[in-house]
Amino acid sequence: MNSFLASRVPNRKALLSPGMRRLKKYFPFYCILLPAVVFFFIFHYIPIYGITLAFKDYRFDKGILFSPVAQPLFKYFESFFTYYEFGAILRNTLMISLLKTVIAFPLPIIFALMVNELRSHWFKRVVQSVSYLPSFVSWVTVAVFLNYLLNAEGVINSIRSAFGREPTLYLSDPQYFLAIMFLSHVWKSVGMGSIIYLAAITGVEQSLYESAMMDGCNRLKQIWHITIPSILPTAIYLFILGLSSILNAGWDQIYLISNPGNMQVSNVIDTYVIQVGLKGGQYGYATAVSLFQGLVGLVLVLATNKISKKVTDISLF
Amino acid sequence: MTKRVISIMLCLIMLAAVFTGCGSAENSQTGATTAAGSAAATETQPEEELITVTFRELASGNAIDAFTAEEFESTPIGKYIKDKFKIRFEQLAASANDNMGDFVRDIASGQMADIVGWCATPGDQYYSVYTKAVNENQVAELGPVIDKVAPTLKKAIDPARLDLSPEMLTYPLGVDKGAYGLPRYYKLTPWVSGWGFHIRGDIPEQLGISLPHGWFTPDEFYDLLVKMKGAGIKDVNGNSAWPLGAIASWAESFTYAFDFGNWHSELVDGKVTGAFETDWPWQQVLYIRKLIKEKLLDPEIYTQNQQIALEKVKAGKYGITSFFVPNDLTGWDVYDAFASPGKPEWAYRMLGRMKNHRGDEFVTNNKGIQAIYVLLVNKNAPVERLMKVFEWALSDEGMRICYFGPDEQGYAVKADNGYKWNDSIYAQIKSGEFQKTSEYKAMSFMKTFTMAFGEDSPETNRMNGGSIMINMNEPSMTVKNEEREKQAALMFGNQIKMFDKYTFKWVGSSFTGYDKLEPVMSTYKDVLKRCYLAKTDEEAKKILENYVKSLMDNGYKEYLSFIQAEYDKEPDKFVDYVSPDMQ
Repeated sequence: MNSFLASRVPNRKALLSPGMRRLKKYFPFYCILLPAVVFFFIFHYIPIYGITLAFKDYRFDKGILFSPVAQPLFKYFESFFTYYEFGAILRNTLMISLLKTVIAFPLPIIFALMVNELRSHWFKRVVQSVSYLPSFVSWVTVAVFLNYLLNAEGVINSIRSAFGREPTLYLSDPQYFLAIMFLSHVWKSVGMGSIIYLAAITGVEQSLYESAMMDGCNRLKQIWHITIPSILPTAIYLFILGLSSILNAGWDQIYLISNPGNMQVSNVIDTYVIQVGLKGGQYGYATAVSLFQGLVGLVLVLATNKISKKVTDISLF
Repeated sequence: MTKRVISIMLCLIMLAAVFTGCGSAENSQTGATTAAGSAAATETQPEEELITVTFRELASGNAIDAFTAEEFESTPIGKYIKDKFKIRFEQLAASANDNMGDFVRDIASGQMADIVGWCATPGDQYYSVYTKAVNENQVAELGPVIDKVAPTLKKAIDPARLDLSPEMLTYPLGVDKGAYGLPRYYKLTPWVSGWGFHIRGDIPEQLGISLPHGWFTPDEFYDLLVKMKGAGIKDVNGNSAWPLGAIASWAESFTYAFDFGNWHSELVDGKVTGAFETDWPWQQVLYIRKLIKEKLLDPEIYTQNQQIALEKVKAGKYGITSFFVPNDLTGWDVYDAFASPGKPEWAYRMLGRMKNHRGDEFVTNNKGIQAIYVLLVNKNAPVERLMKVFEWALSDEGMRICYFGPDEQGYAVKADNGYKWNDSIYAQIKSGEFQKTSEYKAMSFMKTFTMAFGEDSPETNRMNGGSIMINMNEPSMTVKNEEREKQAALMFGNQIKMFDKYTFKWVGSSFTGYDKLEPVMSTYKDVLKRCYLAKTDEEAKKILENYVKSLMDNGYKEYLSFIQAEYDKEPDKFVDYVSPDMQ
């Protein structure tokens, strides 16, 4: 009888919905996730209401919520779009972002592949450590270093003048700006950027390489046919995520090495927002510019994700 | 399915956040109280209740260390103030490179410090934000409270006492001018009030020019630079030096000081004329471009950082530089660099100043830049209690205690004509030890409230220099003004006394389209620098023309019409010509 009843009483687990069952099963993992969710909710979702500033005549005394609506509603956007430098700012932002996102993108991969091929463990570790070090140096320090290196009295110009050459104002000449920006960015970021690819390479099945060797593949062919395809999903994820910040040219670096001399190529949305919006207390205007920047980033991510899904069948969502 | 639910939930949260917002109570509350309400709030504040009053000092380019209320009350003077007034003061920290940002963030978030203080100039960088705060009722009206509880303070800030700088009467500050800042006098005597060109000490003899030279037109100044270049001046290492250079914001200022046109707006035959309606800016651009092209001016003054600029000065790299000499002559890297560029005899000396585009020996910013120190009081602060502290600080007892600490501490002793430090403290001051103490910090802080009469006033002179001098380690700085003047004269030569005048700009900030125009207008300094450094004249011209077009597209004409209408209503409020540095 008892066993009969027991068979009739539904299992408690069976009473739970699949979602709850999953929650129960992975409860510790959800607990680990919780702080991150709370963090994102507080610092990334709640502040979103601030974008309303782009459509308000912000009054210090009334706060974001109670400030009157801007008249006309899109006046800050209009002001930005009609600003004589709008085209240049947008072009500079895209140019710098493309350099960092597209041109600089494969460099950590190439570096990771090269480091992976090193046979001496000791040398490999030294190379890795040395390549990571620049990422721990702040942009402020890098900017000071560049200043001392490249100003009219700096190291480079001193060498030039020793050979009787006139000093060149590298830091304020627009034609050198992109090169200085790009090289300093690569120097600072390649080492750290390669970590994730090295980790991905480490995860590649060794048996694949062994099979390839039996089939007569040399190292180069192994890299081409095994390593690169194996880390491709990682690379694509990072590339798509990188595109979301295509209009974030990296304000700290640019802010520190830009000056009126090179402003025609260094003035980007981020520095413009800081300079005009925040320092001058023009919060509405700064928000409108930032909102435009965010929207462009969103569209690019969605579009790239779609293209990637179609072409490689790899996508974020 | 679950993904969809989560996505929808997140979208809903985003929307809810957008529409409901999280406007803090403080933000919305501050505007609700009227200026009169602040006095009422003060009256309801029980005087026996201990309160902490926050103070933010705006000192562009200088970091301000925090001085907590606990630190303050742990000092003899802090304890005295706490016992007497039930008030503790606290100084907020400020970063060196974003001092303005700290101020903007404070008031934008409705968290303006109880007291904000800065050395004022009508053209100062805090101007637009400060004006906005006043217009939006964040600043307390001090007049009625001062009338009620602070007769000495009222006497101290009486406009009639501003005999040395009457131009400051037109600065839109003051207890009765609707902008409720509290102007205080700040030491600035003619010998040391110099804005203008300074020349490396060894060069005048080399070129056969006497000092001070006097006033320059742009052409005369150009001729002098050419002469200097011809003389082949060298730096301390024997390398060629630039005839002209500058550091910091002075790199911008000297060009405005020549004033090829009034940078903001000027009254021409009764019509408010904006600089960017004329070709004045272009004339200025051409002038600077000529100096750069002929290698008379170091183009890096517009791009280099302060550290490199100072190293150039120290190496004697600049023959002439534009410079503002403030009242504190030592202790700042900038002034030390100008005082000893390579060799002691190379210390910079006053050369002269700039005539404007009309050929007038007119005013550029001089005494105005630091002739007053402005205190703004938050309308939610305990205004009446604060005014009582200020009133006490101006009394004989208050001044003595703020300068020298409470009597029983024995910091000060009676002197022939007032007070002076006792020998033990004086020795510590000379060695620099006293300046590291909390007592020093607290006294320096309280001293801020004692200066409404002015450092040179008989009231202040009773203190025989007092704690003002302890900022400086040099013995000559810790004694009498006379000796200090001698040292200053040695370093900077004779200064020329000048006067400030008034600007239209503060009226303009009430223009309804100002929010839209200001982001464009505020970039003009960078635009000009770009023009100076452009590769060709055509490129420079294009940059300027595009900028002017952008101004016009964003309401520049309407803005000037607004100022014109304000002027027509009450012309006496304005002067017809103002210094470009005041804009």
